[in-house]
Amino acid sequence: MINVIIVIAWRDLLAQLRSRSFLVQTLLLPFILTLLIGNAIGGTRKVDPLPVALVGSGEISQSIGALLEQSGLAKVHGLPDASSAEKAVRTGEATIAVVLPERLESKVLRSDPLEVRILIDPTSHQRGEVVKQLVQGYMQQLEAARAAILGGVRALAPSTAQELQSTLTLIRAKVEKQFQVASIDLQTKEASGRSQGIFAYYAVAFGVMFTLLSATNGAGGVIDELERGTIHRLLAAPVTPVLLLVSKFLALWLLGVWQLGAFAIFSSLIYGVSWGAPLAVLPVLLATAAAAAGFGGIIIGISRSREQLNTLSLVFVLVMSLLGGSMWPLETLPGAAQVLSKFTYNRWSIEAFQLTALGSSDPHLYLATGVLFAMAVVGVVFGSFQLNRRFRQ
Amino acid sequence: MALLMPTLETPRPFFLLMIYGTMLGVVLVVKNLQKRYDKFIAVHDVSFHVQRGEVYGLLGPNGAGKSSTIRVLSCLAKPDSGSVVIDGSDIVQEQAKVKRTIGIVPQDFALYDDFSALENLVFFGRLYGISGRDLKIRAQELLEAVGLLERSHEAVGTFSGGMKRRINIAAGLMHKPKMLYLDEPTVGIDPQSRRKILDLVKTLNASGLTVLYTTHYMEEAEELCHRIGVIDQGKIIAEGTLAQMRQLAGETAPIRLELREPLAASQLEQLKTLVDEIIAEENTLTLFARDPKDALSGILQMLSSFGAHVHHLELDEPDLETVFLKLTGRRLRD
Ligand SMILES: Nc1ncnc2c1ncn2[C@@H]1O[C@H](COP(=O)(O)OP(=O)(O)OP(=O)(O)O)[C@@H](O)[C@H]1O
Ligand SMILES: [Mg+2]
Repeated sequence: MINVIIVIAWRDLLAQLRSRSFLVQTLLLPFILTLLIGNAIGGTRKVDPLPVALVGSGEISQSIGALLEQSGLAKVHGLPDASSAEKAVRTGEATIAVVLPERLESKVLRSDPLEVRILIDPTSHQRGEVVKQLVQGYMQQLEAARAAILGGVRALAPSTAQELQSTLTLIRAKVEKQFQVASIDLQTKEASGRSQGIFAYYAVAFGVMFTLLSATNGAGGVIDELERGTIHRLLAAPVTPVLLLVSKFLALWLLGVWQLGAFAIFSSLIYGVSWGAPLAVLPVLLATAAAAAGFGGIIIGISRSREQLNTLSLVFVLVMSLLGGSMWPLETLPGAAQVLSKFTYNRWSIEAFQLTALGSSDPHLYLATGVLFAMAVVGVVFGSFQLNRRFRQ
Repeated sequence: MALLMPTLETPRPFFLLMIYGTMLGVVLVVKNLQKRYDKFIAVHDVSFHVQRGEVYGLLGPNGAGKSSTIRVLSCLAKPDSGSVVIDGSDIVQEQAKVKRTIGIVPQDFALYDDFSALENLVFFGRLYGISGRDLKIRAQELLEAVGLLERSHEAVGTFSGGMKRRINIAAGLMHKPKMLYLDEPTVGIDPQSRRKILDLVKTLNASGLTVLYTTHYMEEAEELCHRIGVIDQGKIIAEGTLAQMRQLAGETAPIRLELREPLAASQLEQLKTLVDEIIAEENTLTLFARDPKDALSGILQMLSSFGAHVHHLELDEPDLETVFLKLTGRRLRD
């Protein structure tokens, strides 16, 4: 019995493997796409530093410059004034310009209002935002430090010069400590922030989309067999309809595992995207592939012919990818789409992989995996029901 | 004793059929078979049996219900009523056993185009649990038998229609069935391939294989089949050996005439007085007369008195076509 299942499923896989489009779709395309996304977004191994124009003089300015350089996110160029900085951003020489007020140190000490201007090239919005946050963070620290200094200074009622001296040393030590801790904190938090997230996101999102696509390919194979009549030869052999269905869906499932596995392997080997711990990733990968097989079942169930299947598949996969976060990030979807996206395979899978990547064991991970398996069951049952009906025609 | 008592689960007719089947060397017994597609009845009330070692022909025009009958006999569709017993096993209750007894060669090529001939055979063989050396040997044997050993590694998709037909047959034989169904195995191929297939069927039969052969070519039925059932509109309308069929046609042999223009109804009426029966299809007439040679001069005289021009005249031996024409008033092929 198991033997027959393996024989049939293996033939299905082999048939897919032999079609040229299959290898293009499952291996070449993931490879190219990974490269493309990787280069467009920056990958994770090496983040090209953004050119940053910095206007300002004095210690604080130098300190901000050093902080940005240190983060690896920015390559800082000093510029003399605001207008030249603005020009640099307009011409693309700099992605972001930070314009600090003149005589910043004395303004800080005199408690004058501070105005820091930041200009960002909108086309590099994502990463510009990171730099902006870095600077803002720094300025907030500066503000806090100033408050502390002022507080300290106001509270000063030194009776001796020595007392004054020691109080100042204390304050200085405190301020310096605060500055340093703050800047280190900022660095680590932001440097491992957004850009990796986006790339890892798309590696997963496209992976899911392609897994759905290969499931429809496999589903097409089943419809072909119904049309050719090979299914009937199988059923005239000692193969019960149930056994046949199990074999067909097993093949679809393995196809999904292969496709998603290809994405996971390429993106992690080439760009070091972490999908998470293998043991955490595997169940989600299996669940996603199963859900894709279930999708194959639904497509088989509603298609009368191969042409119809091809059209329906494309429409379904595109709509689900648009709604389910395979085209743009889930968080950016408008409200209605957020609700609809809960009906897509993409959303649940992407969310689950986001959690495995973070090493999280949030209950939502189990929920998402469970939903994917449930979707798989629904699709397989529906597809089986429909196929079984067609076997008898 | 228990064996002879019908049990509750086995209704009496089934039981009797099984006894009948095993005792008389009958491999297949079809009794009052009916098959419907929704409301349309494709197979009305078909009964026949096939003896061990025989080639039984189901001869009928397009849409007669041949393939529908074969589908039921292949366990691909349940009979709506009636019963089928194959080698002593009921087709509904003992499917697993039945499936190992029969080999099927469907009307359409049921093969994987992107796999080689050998791979196709090996795959179908595996479904029956054949493996290892046996599997290889069996596949090679069959490839040789159908004359495709040299091309065994080529994809079936690149084969000609005739070659595909032959592989289609080989695929049905992998598990050494006792009985083979061949559903119109010569449709759409060249005379040479057809010859090969007919010879193959004869060889297989000579080696002991029982064959159920459907066709709408009467020549094939005449050449191959020990017994023939003529099927039309879901019913067997005549059955017997070729000799019995000829007798059924009686002495009557058809005279086929082609006229330049069709005859008027009144003229046909007049002509009818000279013969037993007339079938008129536009300007083609088929006349049945008890003694065709005697009747002929009178017929031609009458036609010339009508001023009708005879293009073509043919006197046939009574054949299956005649039987079919006589029974249905239609030709086997249109
Ligand atoms: N799946 C189906 N659904 C509905 N009607 C069907 C189906 N299959 C066959 N029929 C009808 O049943 C009748 C018998 O068809 P069948 O295929 O058994 O004929 P056949 O004798 O094999 O003809 P042919 O020589 O053309 O193969 C035909 O009228 C056909 O239209
Ligand atoms: Mg047919």
